[in-house]
Amino acid sequence: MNDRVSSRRLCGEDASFVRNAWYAAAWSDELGRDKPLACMMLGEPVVLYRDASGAPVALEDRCVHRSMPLSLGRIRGDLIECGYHGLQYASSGRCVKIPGQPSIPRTACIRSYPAVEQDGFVWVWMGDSARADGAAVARFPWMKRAGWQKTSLHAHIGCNYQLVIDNLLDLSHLAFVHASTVGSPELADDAIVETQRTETGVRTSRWTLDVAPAMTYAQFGRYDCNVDRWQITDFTPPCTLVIRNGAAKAGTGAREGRGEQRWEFIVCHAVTPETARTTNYFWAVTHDFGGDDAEATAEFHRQCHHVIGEDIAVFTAQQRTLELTPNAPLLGIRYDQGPLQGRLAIERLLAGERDAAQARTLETHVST
Amino acid sequence: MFVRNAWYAAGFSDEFGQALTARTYLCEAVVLYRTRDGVPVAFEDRCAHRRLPLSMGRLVDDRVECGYHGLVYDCTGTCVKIPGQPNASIPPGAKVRSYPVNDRHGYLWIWMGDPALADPATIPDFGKLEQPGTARHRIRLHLQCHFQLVVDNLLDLSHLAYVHATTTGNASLAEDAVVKTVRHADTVEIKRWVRNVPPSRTFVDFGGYQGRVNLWQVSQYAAPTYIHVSYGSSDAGVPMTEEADIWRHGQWGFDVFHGLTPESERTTHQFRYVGYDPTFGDAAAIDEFLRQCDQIINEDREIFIVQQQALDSDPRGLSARDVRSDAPIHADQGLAIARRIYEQRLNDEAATAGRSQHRLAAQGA
Repeated sequence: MNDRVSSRRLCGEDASFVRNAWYAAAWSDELGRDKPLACMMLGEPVVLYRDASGAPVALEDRCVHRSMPLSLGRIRGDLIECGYHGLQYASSGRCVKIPGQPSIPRTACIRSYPAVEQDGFVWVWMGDSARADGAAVARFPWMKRAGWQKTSLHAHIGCNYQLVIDNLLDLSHLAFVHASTVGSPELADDAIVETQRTETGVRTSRWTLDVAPAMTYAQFGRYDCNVDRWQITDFTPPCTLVIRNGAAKAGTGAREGRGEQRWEFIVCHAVTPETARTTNYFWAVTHDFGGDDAEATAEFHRQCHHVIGEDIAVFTAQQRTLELTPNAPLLGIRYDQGPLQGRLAIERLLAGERDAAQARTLETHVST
Repeated sequence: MFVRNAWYAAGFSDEFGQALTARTYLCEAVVLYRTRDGVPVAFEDRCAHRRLPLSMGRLVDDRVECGYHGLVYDCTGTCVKIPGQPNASIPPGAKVRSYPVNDRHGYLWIWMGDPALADPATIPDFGKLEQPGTARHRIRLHLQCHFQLVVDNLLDLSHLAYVHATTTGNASLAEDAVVKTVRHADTVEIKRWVRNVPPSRTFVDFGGYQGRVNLWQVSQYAAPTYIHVSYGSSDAGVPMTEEADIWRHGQWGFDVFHGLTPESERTTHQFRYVGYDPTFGDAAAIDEFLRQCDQIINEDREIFIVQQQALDSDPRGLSARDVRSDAPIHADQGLAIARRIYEQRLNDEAATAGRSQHRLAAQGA
């Protein structure tokens, strides 16, 4: 994938998305029975609601009659009713009622998307329904683990989703963007960085050894000594990441899985393209410390939200500049290994989908 | 599309110091600062790596550190540090575009075109602002309009009669004025004068007139966007000739200089200085005079906004530059010439760019 292709994609000129994947559509608690939720995904308007059993339903957000968004309508039992002329649709997408007429044309049908709920998210499959496997949804078990706490955010960001993934696969940026909380200079200057392909995607591990703890670490990890610090990002393309962040007393074997005074938190990320230039970002920090100190936990959460706010400011500023200078070349640096592998992983999925589509076209061609 | 090979006002000189300022000129995002020695620096406001605006970073020892991954740029826009990798491994192409800048006449000027052509001698002569005895008052506006609408406005001052009726305007400026328009190579000069008319309010307030007056205004335009307007007046009883008086303020007057810099096709930076002789009144009178000056520029701003809105909602998709008045009036003569001068500069630049591309292609073959 060359620079030009990636620039065009980031600027929204080439809106290619991996379709055969589970994308996070909403936090579970954003979706109720009282009203439907509009949710544009991959450039397609989607409406979400819960049927009478509470199961999530995802449909094309468009009445076949006058293109009114169904999200402006009402939930009626298991059905959704258009707010304009009252057409009703079942969770299969089939129109089952047209007020004032007994017959319903067979074409009165909208697209239905597979939807599942897991670990506090509602996931929607945007590709070929036949390939949707509920068991393949990304797992974030810490979200609901006993004794664990969390803080979370759903942000709508004015940027291409790739910028978010790039950010999370190169955490040297903490030294500059988050210098007042989780960052310290050594994260950029002296880190041991390894990027590898894994069974499910890409892992970037960063270790900084025997360094003064960053402010947040000193405060909540209660270190009065140097630490060994890890940042392990696991990316499952196209859209989910888990990052383990932690530290232990320097020189106590943290890299070998031991370590004294270990302190760790796990961040769950689901990054869903809304359009080529906008993104819905679901972010949660989970941890098993602080159960005994509500005040400290609240302050830790405040710092986490400060950090994510700084990142969001970066994303929107990048997108603006990208659109101003779509043809300027991008400089590659050593720490790009993670983002680059991340982009290649997405690219492989995209290529796979293109090949499959081409094969189908050929088949059709041969059989006719 | 804009004339690029020109000095544009980046702002007032003292707006820039040892801090990073982000501004957009001609649709290009620029970051500006001064080194500890006061030397102005301007380069592209984007990191070559991931395009974060460099203005979101920090100024460290006269260099700019990107706020994302810490790449450092020196004042030529060359990347001199990439954290986590040795300096020897910095690719030679790791730089961002830098722009020539120059302080003069209270403005910082920036050259948005080919740096090889940036000749400080072509900075407009606003030297009158720096003459001894001249006081300066300035205002900076961000206008929601194409710059052409502002140039049009300043080159047809008949609008004073309607837009600025409570200050400098007077019906006779539109009805009875003699207007003389003269084109020199890249400039046009529009003189407008009326004799023996009742003074408008500003002239009563600060010129101290009791009876009727002579009034004149001279607008000078130089491509691409430099404008100087001189206002003068005298008692109606004083004989007034174009040649002798029109270049002076007469008994009372002032000068206005406009640095206009397109930000985008729909927005413009306006940096205006009013130059005046502060001996005409006490501090309260001067305050009131300057208040009237700022009222005037804000009255114009309201006009620009609605003009641009009307253009934007035109189904033909017009830009301010496409618009020739559907009904040309006599007073349009000067601004029509200014538009032609600007077009000529645009065409010349396109031809030069075409020639150099041709030359490059020929060399390549």
